[in-house]
Amino acid sequence: MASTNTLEMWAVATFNVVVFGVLGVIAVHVSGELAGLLRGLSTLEGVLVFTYLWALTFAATRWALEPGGLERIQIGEFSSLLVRGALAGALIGAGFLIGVVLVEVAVRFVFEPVSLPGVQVGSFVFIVSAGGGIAALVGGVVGVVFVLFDVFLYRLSMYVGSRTSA
Amino acid sequence: MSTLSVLLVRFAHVGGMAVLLGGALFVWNALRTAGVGYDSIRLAVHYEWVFWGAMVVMLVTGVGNAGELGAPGPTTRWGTILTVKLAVVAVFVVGSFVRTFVVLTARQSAAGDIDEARLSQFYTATWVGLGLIVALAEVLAHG
Repeated sequence: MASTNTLEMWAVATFNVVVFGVLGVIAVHVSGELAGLLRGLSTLEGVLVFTYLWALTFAATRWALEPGGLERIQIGEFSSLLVRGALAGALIGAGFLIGVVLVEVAVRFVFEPVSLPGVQVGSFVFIVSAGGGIAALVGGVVGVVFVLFDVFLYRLSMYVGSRTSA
Repeated sequence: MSTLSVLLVRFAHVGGMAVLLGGALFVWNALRTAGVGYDSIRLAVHYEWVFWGAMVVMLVTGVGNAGELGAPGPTTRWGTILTVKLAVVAVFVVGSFVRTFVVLTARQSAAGDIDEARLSQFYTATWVGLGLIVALAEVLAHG
Protein backbone atom coordinates (compact mmCIF):
# COMPACT_ATOMS: atom_id res chain seq x y z
CA MET A 1 0.00 0.00 0.00
CA ALA A 2 1.35 3.39 -0.93
CA SER A 3 2.09 5.92 1.79
CA THR A 4 -0.30 8.81 1.99
CA ASN A 5 0.51 11.73 -0.23
CA THR A 6 1.60 14.79 1.76
CA LEU A 7 -0.39 17.13 -0.48
CA GLU A 8 -3.46 14.94 0.06
CA MET A 9 -3.12 15.24 3.85
CA TRP A 10 -2.50 18.97 3.58
CA ALA A 11 -5.56 19.43 1.35
CA VAL A 12 -7.92 17.17 3.35
CA ALA A 13 -6.96 18.67 6.73
CA THR A 14 -7.12 22.24 5.48
CA PHE A 15 -10.34 21.64 3.55
CA ASN A 16 -12.02 20.24 6.64
CA VAL A 17 -10.89 23.16 8.81
CA VAL A 18 -11.90 25.76 6.20
CA VAL A 19 -15.33 24.19 5.57
CA PHE A 20 -15.90 23.87 9.33
CA GLY A 21 -14.85 27.50 9.79
CA VAL A 22 -16.91 28.90 6.91
CA LEU A 23 -20.05 26.96 7.92
CA GLY A 24 -19.51 28.06 11.52
CA VAL A 25 -19.19 31.72 10.48
CA ILE A 26 -22.33 31.42 8.30
CA ALA A 27 -24.29 29.89 11.19
CA VAL A 28 -23.16 32.55 13.67
CA HIS A 29 -23.74 35.37 11.17
CA VAL A 30 -27.24 34.19 10.21
CA SER A 31 -28.14 33.95 13.91
CA GLY A 32 -27.05 37.59 14.31
CA GLU A 33 -24.33 36.80 16.86
CA LEU A 34 -21.21 37.40 14.73
CA ALA A 35 -20.49 40.98 15.84
CA GLY A 36 -20.91 40.08 19.52
CA LEU A 37 -18.70 37.03 19.23
CA LEU A 38 -15.91 38.82 17.41
CA ARG A 39 -16.02 41.78 19.79
CA GLY A 40 -14.76 39.56 22.60
CA LEU A 41 -11.86 38.07 20.61
CA SER A 42 -8.63 39.91 19.84
CA THR A 43 -6.83 39.34 16.54
CA LEU A 44 -3.92 37.53 18.18
CA GLU A 45 -6.23 35.28 20.22
CA GLY A 46 -8.27 34.46 17.12
CA VAL A 47 -5.20 33.59 15.07
CA LEU A 48 -3.71 31.45 17.87
CA VAL A 49 -6.97 29.56 18.50
CA PHE A 50 -7.47 28.89 14.80
CA THR A 51 -3.83 27.85 14.32
CA TYR A 52 -4.19 25.41 17.23
CA LEU A 53 -7.35 23.94 15.66
CA TRP A 54 -5.57 23.64 12.30
CA ALA A 55 -2.53 21.93 13.84
CA LEU A 56 -4.74 19.48 15.75
CA THR A 57 -6.74 18.72 12.58
CA PHE A 58 -3.59 18.20 10.53
CA ALA A 59 -2.11 15.76 13.06
CA ALA A 60 -5.42 13.88 13.44
CA THR A 61 -6.03 13.78 9.69
CA ARG A 62 -2.54 12.45 9.13
CA TRP A 63 -3.23 9.63 11.56
CA ALA A 64 -6.69 8.94 10.11
CA LEU A 65 -5.49 8.78 6.51
CA GLU A 66 -2.34 6.71 7.08
CA PRO A 67 -1.61 4.50 5.30
CA GLY A 68 -3.01 4.96 1.82
CA GLY A 69 -5.20 8.05 2.13
CA LEU A 70 -8.74 8.26 0.76
CA GLU A 71 -7.70 5.79 -1.95
CA ARG A 72 -8.16 3.08 0.70
CA ILE A 73 -11.90 3.03 0.01
CA GLN A 74 -11.10 1.41 -3.35
CA ILE A 75 -9.69 -1.64 -1.58
CA GLY A 76 -12.62 -2.07 0.81
CA GLU A 77 -11.24 -0.11 3.78
CA PHE A 78 -14.11 2.36 4.05
CA SER A 79 -15.19 1.20 7.52
CA SER A 80 -11.61 1.48 8.80
CA LEU A 81 -11.46 5.03 7.46
CA LEU A 82 -14.78 5.83 9.10
CA VAL A 83 -13.63 4.54 12.51
CA ARG A 84 -10.35 6.42 12.28
CA GLY A 85 -12.27 9.55 11.21
CA ALA A 86 -14.53 9.28 14.26
CA LEU A 87 -11.55 8.81 16.60
CA ALA A 88 -9.66 11.66 14.95
CA GLY A 89 -12.72 13.91 15.32
CA ALA A 90 -13.04 12.95 18.99
CA LEU A 91 -9.35 13.74 19.51
CA ILE A 92 -9.73 17.13 17.84
CA GLY A 93 -12.89 17.97 19.81
CA ALA A 94 -11.47 17.03 23.22
CA GLY A 95 -7.98 18.34 22.44
CA PHE A 96 -9.33 21.67 21.26
CA LEU A 97 -11.61 22.30 24.23
CA ILE A 98 -9.20 21.11 26.91
CA GLY A 99 -6.23 22.86 25.28
CA VAL A 100 -8.00 26.21 25.01
CA VAL A 101 -9.36 26.01 28.59
CA LEU A 102 -5.98 25.03 30.06
CA VAL A 103 -4.15 27.83 28.22
CA GLU A 104 -6.82 30.34 29.30
CA VAL A 105 -6.50 29.22 32.93
CA ALA A 106 -2.68 29.21 32.77
CA VAL A 107 -2.62 32.75 31.34
CA ARG A 108 -4.99 33.95 34.08
CA PHE A 109 -2.83 32.36 36.78
CA VAL A 110 0.29 34.04 35.39
CA PHE A 111 -1.31 37.49 35.36
CA GLU A 112 -3.60 37.12 38.40
CA PRO A 113 -2.03 34.49 40.69
CA VAL A 114 -4.44 33.25 43.37
CA SER A 115 -4.36 30.24 45.65
CA LEU A 116 -7.25 27.81 45.20
CA PRO A 117 -8.52 25.26 47.73
CA GLY A 118 -8.24 21.61 46.72
CA VAL A 119 -11.99 21.24 46.33
CA GLN A 120 -12.06 23.95 43.63
CA VAL A 121 -9.22 22.29 41.74
CA GLY A 122 -11.12 18.99 41.93
CA SER A 123 -14.29 20.63 40.57
CA PHE A 124 -12.31 22.27 37.78
CA VAL A 125 -10.71 18.95 36.76
CA PHE A 126 -14.13 17.27 36.81
CA ILE A 127 -15.79 19.99 34.71
CA VAL A 128 -12.92 20.06 32.20
CA SER A 129 -12.97 16.24 31.93
CA ALA A 130 -16.75 16.19 31.44
CA GLY A 131 -16.53 19.01 28.88
CA GLY A 132 -13.72 17.16 27.11
CA GLY A 133 -15.86 14.01 27.00
CA ILE A 134 -18.80 15.86 25.48
CA ALA A 135 -16.47 17.62 23.02
CA ALA A 136 -15.02 14.21 22.08
CA LEU A 137 -18.52 12.85 21.37
CA VAL A 138 -19.46 15.85 19.26
CA GLY A 139 -16.06 15.73 17.53
CA GLY A 140 -16.52 12.04 16.77
CA VAL A 141 -19.85 12.72 15.05
CA VAL A 142 -18.35 15.65 13.13
CA GLY A 143 -15.41 13.42 12.17
CA VAL A 144 -17.74 10.79 10.69
CA VAL A 145 -19.67 13.46 8.76
CA PHE A 146 -16.42 14.86 7.35
CA VAL A 147 -15.14 11.41 6.35
CA LEU A 148 -18.42 10.78 4.48
CA PHE A 149 -18.19 14.19 2.82
CA ASP A 150 -14.49 13.77 1.93
CA VAL A 151 -15.11 10.31 0.47
CA PHE A 152 -18.08 11.58 -1.55
CA LEU A 153 -15.98 14.40 -3.01
CA TYR A 154 -13.09 12.00 -3.65
CA ARG A 155 -15.42 9.73 -5.63
CA LEU A 156 -16.78 12.76 -7.46
CA SER A 157 -13.23 13.81 -8.40
CA MET A 158 -12.55 10.27 -9.70
CA TYR A 159 -15.69 10.53 -11.84
CA VAL A 160 -15.15 14.00 -13.28
CA GLY A 161 -11.41 13.48 -13.62
CA SER A 162 -11.84 10.29 -15.62
CA ARG A 163 -14.14 11.91 -18.16
CA THR A 164 -12.37 13.42 -21.12
CA SER A 165 -13.18 16.96 -22.12
CA ALA A 166 -15.51 17.52 -25.06
CA MET B 1 -7.73 46.19 16.92
CA SER B 2 -4.89 48.67 16.58
CA THR B 3 -4.47 50.49 13.26
CA LEU B 4 -1.38 48.42 12.49
CA SER B 5 -3.23 45.14 13.15
CA VAL B 6 -6.10 46.25 10.91
CA LEU B 7 -3.71 47.13 8.10
CA LEU B 8 -1.79 43.86 8.48
CA VAL B 9 -5.00 41.80 8.43
CA ARG B 10 -6.26 43.64 5.33
CA PHE B 11 -2.87 43.32 3.65
CA ALA B 12 -2.82 39.56 4.28
CA HIS B 13 -6.42 39.22 3.05
CA VAL B 14 -5.88 41.19 -0.18
CA GLY B 15 -2.46 39.59 -0.72
CA GLY B 16 -3.92 36.13 -0.21
CA MET B 17 -6.58 36.75 -2.82
CA ALA B 18 -3.95 38.09 -5.24
CA VAL B 19 -2.01 34.84 -4.84
CA LEU B 20 -5.14 32.68 -5.29
CA LEU B 21 -6.51 34.53 -8.32
CA GLY B 22 -3.16 35.25 -9.96
CA GLY B 23 -2.03 31.67 -9.44
CA ALA B 24 -5.25 30.23 -10.90
CA LEU B 25 -4.94 32.44 -13.99
CA PHE B 26 -1.27 31.49 -14.33
CA VAL B 27 -1.91 27.74 -14.14
CA TRP B 28 -4.94 28.02 -16.44
CA ASN B 29 -2.86 29.86 -19.04
CA ALA B 30 0.05 27.42 -18.67
CA LEU B 31 -2.29 24.46 -19.26
CA ARG B 32 -3.70 26.14 -22.37
CA THR B 33 -0.44 27.24 -23.94
CA ALA B 34 2.23 24.83 -22.71
CA GLY B 35 4.04 22.88 -25.39
CA VAL B 36 4.95 19.20 -25.48
CA GLY B 37 7.24 18.18 -22.65
CA TYR B 38 6.21 21.00 -20.34
CA ASP B 39 5.33 19.69 -16.88
CA SER B 40 2.10 21.61 -16.30
CA ILE B 41 0.90 19.05 -13.75
CA ARG B 42 3.87 19.89 -11.56
CA LEU B 43 2.90 23.55 -11.76
CA ALA B 44 -0.68 22.66 -10.81
CA VAL B 45 0.56 20.62 -7.82
CA HIS B 46 2.58 23.61 -6.59
CA TYR B 47 -0.51 25.79 -6.91
CA GLU B 48 -2.59 23.34 -4.86
CA TRP B 49 -0.05 23.54 -2.01
CA VAL B 50 -0.16 27.32 -2.04
CA PHE B 51 -3.94 27.39 -2.56
CA TRP B 52 -4.85 25.56 0.67
CA GLY B 53 -2.35 27.52 2.73
CA ALA B 54 -3.74 30.77 1.33
CA MET B 55 -7.34 29.63 1.99
CA VAL B 56 -6.61 29.38 5.73
CA VAL B 57 -5.07 32.87 5.68
CA MET B 58 -8.17 34.15 3.84
CA LEU B 59 -10.51 32.59 6.41
CA VAL B 60 -8.65 33.92 9.46
CA THR B 61 -8.16 37.41 8.03
CA GLY B 62 -11.72 37.45 6.63
CA VAL B 63 -13.13 36.83 10.09
CA GLY B 64 -10.74 39.49 11.43
CA ASN B 65 -12.02 41.98 8.83
CA ALA B 66 -15.64 41.21 9.69
CA GLY B 67 -14.83 41.80 13.36
CA GLU B 68 -13.18 45.14 12.57
CA LEU B 69 -16.14 46.30 10.45
CA GLY B 70 -18.61 45.35 13.16
CA ALA B 71 -20.54 42.89 10.95
CA PRO B 72 -24.09 44.34 10.79
CA GLY B 73 -26.99 41.91 11.27
CA PRO B 74 -27.91 39.35 8.60
CA THR B 75 -31.13 41.16 7.61
CA THR B 76 -29.35 44.36 6.52
CA ARG B 77 -28.24 44.77 2.88
CA TRP B 78 -24.60 44.39 3.92
CA GLY B 79 -25.42 41.35 6.01
CA THR B 80 -27.33 39.73 3.16
CA ILE B 81 -24.43 40.26 0.76
CA LEU B 82 -22.06 38.79 3.38
CA THR B 83 -24.32 35.72 3.65
CA VAL B 84 -24.25 35.34 -0.16
CA LYS B 85 -20.47 35.78 -0.22
CA LEU B 86 -19.94 33.17 2.50
CA ALA B 87 -22.24 30.73 0.66
CA VAL B 88 -20.28 31.28 -2.57
CA VAL B 89 -17.02 30.71 -0.65
CA ALA B 90 -18.39 27.44 0.78
CA VAL B 91 -19.35 26.15 -2.68
CA PHE B 92 -16.02 27.35 -4.09
CA VAL B 93 -14.04 25.51 -1.40
CA VAL B 94 -15.94 22.28 -2.06
CA GLY B 95 -15.26 22.58 -5.79
CA SER B 96 -11.60 23.29 -5.07
CA PHE B 97 -11.30 20.08 -3.09
CA VAL B 98 -12.51 18.15 -6.14
CA ARG B 99 -10.01 20.04 -8.32
CA THR B 100 -7.13 19.18 -5.99
CA PHE B 101 -7.96 15.48 -6.17
CA VAL B 102 -8.24 15.63 -9.96
CA VAL B 103 -4.73 17.12 -10.00
CA LEU B 104 -3.46 14.46 -7.58
CA THR B 105 -4.95 11.71 -9.75
CA ALA B 106 -3.47 13.26 -12.88
CA ARG B 107 -0.03 13.32 -11.25
CA GLN B 108 -0.27 9.65 -10.27
CA SER B 109 -1.51 8.48 -13.65
CA ALA B 110 0.64 7.80 -16.70
CA ALA B 111 1.58 10.90 -18.69
CA GLY B 112 -0.54 9.85 -21.65
CA ASP B 113 -3.72 9.70 -19.55
CA ILE B 114 -3.62 13.34 -18.50
CA ASP B 115 -6.37 15.40 -20.07
CA GLU B 116 -4.96 18.92 -19.84
CA ALA B 117 -8.10 20.40 -21.42
CA ARG B 118 -10.15 18.94 -18.56
CA LEU B 119 -7.70 20.33 -15.99
CA SER B 120 -7.82 23.69 -17.73
CA GLN B 121 -11.61 23.72 -17.25
CA PHE B 122 -11.13 23.29 -13.51
CA TYR B 123 -8.78 26.27 -13.37
CA THR B 124 -11.21 28.30 -15.47
CA ALA B 125 -13.90 27.54 -12.88
CA THR B 126 -11.40 28.48 -10.15
CA TRP B 127 -10.60 31.96 -11.45
CA VAL B 128 -14.23 32.62 -12.37
CA GLY B 129 -15.29 31.62 -8.84
CA LEU B 130 -12.56 33.78 -7.31
CA GLY B 131 -13.61 36.67 -9.56
CA LEU B 132 -17.16 36.40 -8.22
CA ILE B 133 -15.90 36.38 -4.63
CA VAL B 134 -13.74 39.46 -5.32
CA ALA B 135 -16.76 41.24 -6.84
CA LEU B 136 -18.86 40.46 -3.76
CA ALA B 137 -16.01 41.60 -1.48
CA GLU B 138 -15.81 44.84 -3.45
CA VAL B 139 -19.52 45.47 -2.89
CA LEU B 140 -19.07 44.76 0.83
CA ALA B 141 -16.12 47.15 1.07
CA HIS B 142 -17.46 50.00 -1.04
CA GLY B 143 -21.25 49.58 -1.18
